[in-house]
Amino acid sequence: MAKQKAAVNAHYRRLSLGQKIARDFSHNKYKYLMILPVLVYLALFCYKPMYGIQIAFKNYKITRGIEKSAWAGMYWFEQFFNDPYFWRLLRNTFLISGLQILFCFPAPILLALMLNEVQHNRFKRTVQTITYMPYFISLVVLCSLVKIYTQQNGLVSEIVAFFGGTKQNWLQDPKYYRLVYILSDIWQSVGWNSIIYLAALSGIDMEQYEAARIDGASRFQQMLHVTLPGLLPTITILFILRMGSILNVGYEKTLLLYQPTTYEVADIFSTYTYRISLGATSGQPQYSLSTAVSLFNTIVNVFFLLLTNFISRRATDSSLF
Amino acid sequence: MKKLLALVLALCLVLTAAAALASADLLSREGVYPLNSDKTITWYSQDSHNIHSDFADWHDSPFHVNLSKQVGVNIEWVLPTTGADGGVFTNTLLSDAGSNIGNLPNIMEAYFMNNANQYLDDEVIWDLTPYLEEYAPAYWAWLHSNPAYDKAMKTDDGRYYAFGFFREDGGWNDSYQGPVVRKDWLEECGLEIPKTISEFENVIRVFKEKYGAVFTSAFSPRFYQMGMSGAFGAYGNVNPDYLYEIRDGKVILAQSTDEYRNWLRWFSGIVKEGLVDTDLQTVDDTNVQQKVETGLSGIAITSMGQMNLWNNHMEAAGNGRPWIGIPYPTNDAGEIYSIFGGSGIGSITGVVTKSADEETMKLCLQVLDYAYSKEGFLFWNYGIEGESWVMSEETGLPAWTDLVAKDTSNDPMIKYNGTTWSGSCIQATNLLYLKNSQASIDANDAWYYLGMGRDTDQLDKVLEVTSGHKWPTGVTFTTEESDELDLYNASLGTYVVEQCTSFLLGNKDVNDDGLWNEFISGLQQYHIDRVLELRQNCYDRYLSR
Amino acid sequence: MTTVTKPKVNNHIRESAGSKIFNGINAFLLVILCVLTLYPMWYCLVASFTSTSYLSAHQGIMLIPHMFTTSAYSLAFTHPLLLSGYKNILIILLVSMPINILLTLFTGYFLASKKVLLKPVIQFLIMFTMFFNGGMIPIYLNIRDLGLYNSLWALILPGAISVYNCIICRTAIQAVPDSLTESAYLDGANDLVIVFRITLPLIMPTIAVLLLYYGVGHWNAWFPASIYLQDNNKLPIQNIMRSILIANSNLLNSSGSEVDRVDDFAETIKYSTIILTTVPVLCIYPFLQKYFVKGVMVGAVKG
Repeated sequence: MAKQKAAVNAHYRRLSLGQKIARDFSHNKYKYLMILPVLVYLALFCYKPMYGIQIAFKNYKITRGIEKSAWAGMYWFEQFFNDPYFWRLLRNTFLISGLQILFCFPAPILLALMLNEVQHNRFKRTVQTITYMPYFISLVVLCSLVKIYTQQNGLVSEIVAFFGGTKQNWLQDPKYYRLVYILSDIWQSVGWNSIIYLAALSGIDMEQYEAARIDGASRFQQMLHVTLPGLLPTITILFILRMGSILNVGYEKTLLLYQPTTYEVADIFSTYTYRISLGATSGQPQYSLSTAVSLFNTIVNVFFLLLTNFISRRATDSSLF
Repeated sequence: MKKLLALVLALCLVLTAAAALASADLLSREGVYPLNSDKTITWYSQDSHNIHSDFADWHDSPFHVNLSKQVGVNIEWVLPTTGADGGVFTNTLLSDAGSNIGNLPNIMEAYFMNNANQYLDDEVIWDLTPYLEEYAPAYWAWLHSNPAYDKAMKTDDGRYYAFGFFREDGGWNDSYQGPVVRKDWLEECGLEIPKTISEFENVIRVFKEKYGAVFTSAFSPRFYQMGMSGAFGAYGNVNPDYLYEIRDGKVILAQSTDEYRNWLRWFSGIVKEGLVDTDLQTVDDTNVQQKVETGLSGIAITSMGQMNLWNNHMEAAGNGRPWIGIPYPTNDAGEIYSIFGGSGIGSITGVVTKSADEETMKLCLQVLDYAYSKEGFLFWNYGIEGESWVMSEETGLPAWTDLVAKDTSNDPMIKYNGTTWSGSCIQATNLLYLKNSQASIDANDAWYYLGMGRDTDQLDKVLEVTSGHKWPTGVTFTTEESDELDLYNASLGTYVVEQCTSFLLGNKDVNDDGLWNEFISGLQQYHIDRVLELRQNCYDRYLSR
Repeated sequence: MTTVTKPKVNNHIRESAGSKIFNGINAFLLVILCVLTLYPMWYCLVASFTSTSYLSAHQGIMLIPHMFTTSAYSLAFTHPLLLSGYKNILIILLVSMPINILLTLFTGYFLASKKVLLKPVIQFLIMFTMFFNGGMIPIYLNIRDLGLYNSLWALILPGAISVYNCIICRTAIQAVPDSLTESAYLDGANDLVIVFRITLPLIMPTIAVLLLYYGVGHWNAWFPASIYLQDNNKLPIQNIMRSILIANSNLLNSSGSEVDRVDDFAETIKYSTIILTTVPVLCIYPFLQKYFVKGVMVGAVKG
């Protein structure tokens, strides 16, 4: 058997590249057939407009179009790195994103684990349905709720006062801004994000639980030794993907929540980009600068993705590629 | 001499406006329209002539449909879809200029002023100089009725490129927001309507002592647009759009002046004493409304619309309509310092793009010109006579028919007119009086610099103060200048806003010279000198047009 | 597995007691979470039926509607574009979801397969698009060039697949035991047969999630419609809701002039639009939910 295989391999190695491809195509023709529409899609909708990346290296003028605009080299990157706010933006973006990874990322896993332990099916479904609902509240409304609750005489103050604290406006205090941001994030997305884990949980073989039970594992031990390992591939993949968007903190929520007094802790890359492009009140949107900023973002993101992927491949079996 | 002339002109304008608001001195073009052309032109408008929310699209909208009939040219309207961000929509539309200019609408109404030179040089829009007099005579006459108008609508080298937005009375109504007070509380406390800043402060104090109420502000104007800094001779607010002031011909950063520092001193002082709403930064209009109705505030800054809502709700709760508008406070010497007003020119303009060939362009000019003719002015402001309006015998001014007056939907007049917001047209002063309640009109008069000066001998003083300080509308930067300014804009604005808010709310002590100097010298990092230099050049060129 | 060396009988008793406490705490925490989540949502529902004047003067907890009114809804329902908005989003969903799922399944299957010579190249091409794109203007110009401007296709085709979802799909397919596909090969089945007959039924929970992800993605999207469409009657519901929300909050900010008769519904409208946009998804969710509660995989492997 092994000998036969070795012979086949040796034969395969002797083939020329063209022959190899031909063989591969005839062998996997249906697979290639399946991926063909995807490739057409990518070419038309993703790769065709990608020439736009050069805007970052040009002095792009809307009136001239990309081709006729003059080259600018690394000018926009230099401008961005020399901006007095660059370091603050970098720090804030990393901090908010880091806190999200630390708290918002594990929260749905925890919720999924807890839900998995519920034996009463209707209760389980009800909890699920309720917790995923806030996902549909539009940001504008969510933020206005947050603002109401964090006022000096708002709900949060009432609770704090009940425990002997002092009333204050929590959102305009730089010390609490991030807390408010992260908590409202968890509130809105914990249920929705747990859906993927619940789907993964339903794939875990019941026999494993039985085996653990026979071994005398407690419920908590079962959770630790059966459920969690069953979730691990999903967690790993989602974690790697999350790391690949480490600098992508959306601007909408920050725009709605931050105030001049909290800029120091709240201002991030995306709000900066917003101010120079979409939110430009006078003058033209700075497409070149904002493209340069997002290119910088992307490069940092890819770096973190590759790094996490590398570590994950070494440490566990699962990785993105 | 020049200044005097301008003053006299402005005075005349104001006087005629006050005397006969209806009959703007416009060129009659009777018999010219309809043009009976079988051509179709496309017309884009960013936010100027939005269709009323009762209509699915412009085909249902009387103003849009009737304009075609009035001018006798088929107009295909291009408007941002409902719910879209007008600015983003404009910019994506414009991106066709670089690749396929034929995709652009023939007429575009949007913000073109700052970059007019670039649009002209890159041949995206038509240079209208050789055609205006012949094909847009009414507009030509209007421009030349006031040198300020003419100045604003061309580039430094004298190229005309746009049809602007003007107010009939020549003033620019910044005054839709201002200070308001609870009249019933004033009477209970035996106080007069405050005139000076000290009296104003006193009202805040008394209300605090007696009712535990604080000084607050509705979201839309908020503290950064209070305009109260005028009482200290300062211009500018904590808002990146209001950074520059002209003083004795010099462009300066308004927030760096001693006057502005005095304003910060005053405000941070009352903040420290707990006289100001602590949620000032995070409240939205509904929150403030809530506070106001539950008696948490008796003196505030708000807008006409908000004040009306407050009164409606208080009336519904059986508390009458206590809120009234009061004038912006003056300094203790009683001099009027509130820095509002200006040339009465809007920043949205209509241009003709190169998607129109010469023939079409000329047609576009005739179509645009209609708004500045005697007949077109009435149509643009009120719609068709007999349908949506009739001439009132009482006032000698147009008045809505029941079609509009009895329409219970929100803001019904925008179904019939095109001048409510902006655009290439002349807005009738009368509209302001037709569409608002008496209390709002009174408030507006109290806030409006014309209202303040109307009965006093201070009119000239008012005009000097109000129009002298503002960065003029219609300034055009060169491409290089605007490139450089755009680059510094965002961060400089952030810095000024952030620092001034800290001072304003007392997080940083404005009395501490060290901290203040740090703020001033910190401006260097944000290229303040270069920004002021560029703006000064531009301003000087504007003056010598 | 850890070795637990305890007498079986004792263990059983201790286990059930511990299990009860465990269940109790677990349920308690979940109930708290539900209350925390539900209250603001409930508030939205209640507030949407409460009159504005009551709402604006009200402070603190509110459990039932006061001064019951449906004016916020009737205002929303008189919007001339509401029906066409729902119709358009329905068209978008019905056309795009099959495309989304089919292409995602194919991509996931391809990426999960082994021994395909060009897989690394294609995988790179796919992953690359996750991070790099042309930017707003070139993408917009591309849509115009392709003739999709002002057509619903501009909202359907550009988002035909999401790489993120493809990766989720691939991960699920990788978990399908090789033995199943291999035996199918031996029976003479080709990849197309396998993907529909064997893979698809086994990853139904994931497909359910993907349906939800794509569906909700389309449901919530408003930006593409706001720049690619020109006719109001082509707009999906989210843009209509947005315009109602914005019209009610922004009117006051416009400069130049102001109007008294600003809509007084601002506050309740906020809540009724949430309800109107959430309820439809809420109705569909339970149908998908059953797939990932059951545990499809278990049965299949056993069978």
